[in-house]
Amino acid sequence: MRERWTGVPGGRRTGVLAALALVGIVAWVQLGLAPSSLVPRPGGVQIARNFFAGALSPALDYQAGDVPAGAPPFLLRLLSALWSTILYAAAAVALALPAGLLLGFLASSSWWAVDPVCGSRRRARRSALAGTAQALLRVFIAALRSVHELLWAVVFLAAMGLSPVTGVLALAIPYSGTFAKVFSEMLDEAPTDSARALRGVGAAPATIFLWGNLPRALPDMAAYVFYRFECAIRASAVLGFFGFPTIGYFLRASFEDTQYREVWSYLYALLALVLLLEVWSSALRRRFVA
Amino acid sequence: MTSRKDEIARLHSARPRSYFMRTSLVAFALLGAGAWLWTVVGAVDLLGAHRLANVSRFLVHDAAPYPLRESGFSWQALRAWIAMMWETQAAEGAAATLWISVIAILIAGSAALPLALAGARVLAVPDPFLASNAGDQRGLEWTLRRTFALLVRQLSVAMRAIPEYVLAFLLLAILGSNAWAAILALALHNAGILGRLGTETVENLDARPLRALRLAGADRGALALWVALPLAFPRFLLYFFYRFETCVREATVLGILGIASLGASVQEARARQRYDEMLFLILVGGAIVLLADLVSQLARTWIRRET
Amino acid sequence: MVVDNRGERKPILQGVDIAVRPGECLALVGPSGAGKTTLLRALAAGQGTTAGTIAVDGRELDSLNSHGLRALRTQLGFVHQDHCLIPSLRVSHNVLAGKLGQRSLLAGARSMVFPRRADLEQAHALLDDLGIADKLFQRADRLSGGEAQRVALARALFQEPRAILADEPVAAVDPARGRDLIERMLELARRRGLTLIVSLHDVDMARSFFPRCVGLRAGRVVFDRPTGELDDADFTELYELERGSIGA
Repeated sequence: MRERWTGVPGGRRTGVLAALALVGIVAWVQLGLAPSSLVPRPGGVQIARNFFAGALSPALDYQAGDVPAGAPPFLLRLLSALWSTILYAAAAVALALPAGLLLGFLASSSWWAVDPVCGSRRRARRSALAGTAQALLRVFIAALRSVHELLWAVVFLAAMGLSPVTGVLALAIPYSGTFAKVFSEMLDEAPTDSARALRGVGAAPATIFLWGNLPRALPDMAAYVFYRFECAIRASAVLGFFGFPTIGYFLRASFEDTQYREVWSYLYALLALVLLLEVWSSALRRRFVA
Repeated sequence: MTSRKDEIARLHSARPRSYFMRTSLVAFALLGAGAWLWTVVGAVDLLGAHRLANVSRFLVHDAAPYPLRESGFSWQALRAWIAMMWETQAAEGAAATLWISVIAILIAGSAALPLALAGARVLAVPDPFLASNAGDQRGLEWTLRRTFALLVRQLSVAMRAIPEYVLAFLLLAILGSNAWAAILALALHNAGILGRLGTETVENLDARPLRALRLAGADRGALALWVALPLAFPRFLLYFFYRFETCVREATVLGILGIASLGASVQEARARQRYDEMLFLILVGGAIVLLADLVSQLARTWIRRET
Repeated sequence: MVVDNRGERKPILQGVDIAVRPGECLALVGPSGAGKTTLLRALAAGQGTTAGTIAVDGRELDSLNSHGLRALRTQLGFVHQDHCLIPSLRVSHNVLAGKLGQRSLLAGARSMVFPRRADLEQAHALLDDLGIADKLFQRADRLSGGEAQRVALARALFQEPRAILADEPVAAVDPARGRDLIERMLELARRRGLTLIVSLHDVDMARSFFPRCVGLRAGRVVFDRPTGELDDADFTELYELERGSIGA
């Protein structure tokens, strides 16, 4: 099969590429895109120039002249915004994780696994039940995931106003759906040899799942939680654009004030945080696997 | 003779354990618990009568479609309203969202291929795949190539660290109000992600065909383009379609900044406090994400079956 | 036990009829693909049959509900060919997992997370008998093949079963260690009065250690006799026929 992909052009690979290009052309036409729009608008060039000029000299202090009297030092405000960002992300993941675990377990085939030695009629009945339950759950999980966290935020803001819970819930709901989907897939794809061994020992289905299926999928699951946390940090930063006290709020404020060097400080802070998480996650992965 | 109990105790204290892992776990648990507490404290504020009244009013009154509010519920009125919403706002926004995502992911995919190849450590050595002994390899060329690959990888990380929304916001100020801001924001971010995933794929490739062709005299460029790339292509396509779905999801909200996609209509409805319309548009957004998810699943199943 | 079964699609086992008395030590030999693993699994109540019955202690497996099946399985210790340990857990946890069928969900979880001293001592004693007592707290994925196989055996023994079924326990081990392991298994079986059924590739090992041999080829029993009554011709016939049929 691999030969088809590494072989002569004109094979399936070229077909796929051609199809993609075709779809792209259709999209281009439909949107009425024009390369001329890529040219920055008149004021835009100036903004771009000023903005990129600030890249190499991020601000360590307020840039504007008119700072209100009781305002905290710039770096302190930056750090507290960063901390808020982390808090929102951590709370969202902390909420989404148990929900995602529960839904993920229920949606995975290994939870509903039927004993191969049991009577066939009973087995058929249980498989039918398992199949319907799983299908319904998968639809529910997909529905949870399909609305973007910012859209959830918009709805909750309209309903409940600005409050930490609004932001955290807005992130937690779609994330529990994502966790559920990914966890159920990982559980289904994990090796089943330990589960088989535990069934041979005479363990009950719940025990087989807990100590047979789950430990095999756990390393991948843990890595994914870490990855989601990183995504949550980004989403939490963007929540700031909607009024929440995270880093996006100050970023936007500084940008609209044309204090571009401050904007770069915020960007670098976010970058540093993401990098730190990356380093930590690869260190953990090395320890776990080695 | 030590007793069994003592022997076990000795083995127990000598057992291999990782303090790093344990400290990390404790740190995460503390962070999670602290964040939970903080949310709960914030939630208490929500339970004030004023807020609850707001919520119930939202659910019962604001969320209901406009024509149904006065005259009560009827299927016909609902259908008419849905048809009206679809024609005037939703259809256009939904289509625009899809087209924007398509172009963005195509650009991202194309940009990510060179990034993936350039960042792969296995290609960034003077004599790729024939590295006999690392010792005499570490000359100037080795260092330069490895540094270059490292920079490329860090570029991918940077491109992915900035959220699309922020990128779109910045590009909007520069480019003005057209779809390119959204497209480029999505493309840049996803190029970083696909570049990183592509690098991983290239580095995990089976080295044998590459080594064989290297022995036959292929140079690095040929090796990368005509061997590594086709081998990595199926995996890369899988990632491509996975990111397509995320792109559609993200493209929906980028419109909130004012451009092109469904989010623009959402923002408009929000600004005018027409929450019924806003909810409908959000549901439509969810529906197209589900559609993209289906397409992505089908494509990935097809790819897996064919390779 | 009385067995007469067929596997699915192309029958893996056909017309197999074996009776094993308590306390017997029996070696299962035959070329690969003969159905040894399937037979062992069926005997351990881990595999269904399309026709025929398996009876343990006079009770047929078909008549048991899931509770009964589980209770039965706790009395049968199975050592898998690829040991099937839980890699991210320590050896002690893997051995203790043997009793998970005999404990409630809560007690079982407790024993895995906070093992009792008595359990640990028992596990240590078992590992000591097998020669790897110092690996008690090692992570299971850091063990060599032979060590992992011993841990799997320890897990089966920890169950305190009435029979042990081992599927190619020495396939991945060098001959010297293999003989050592088989000797230990037989000694433990005799000491505790366990029934032992072991499937082996190495014919010499089967002949030197086991009082009874069953030869399996292409799903059928070729011979089932005390070892004393078998000679070289029987065994070469068992393996040679297989080779011949490939060319045909």
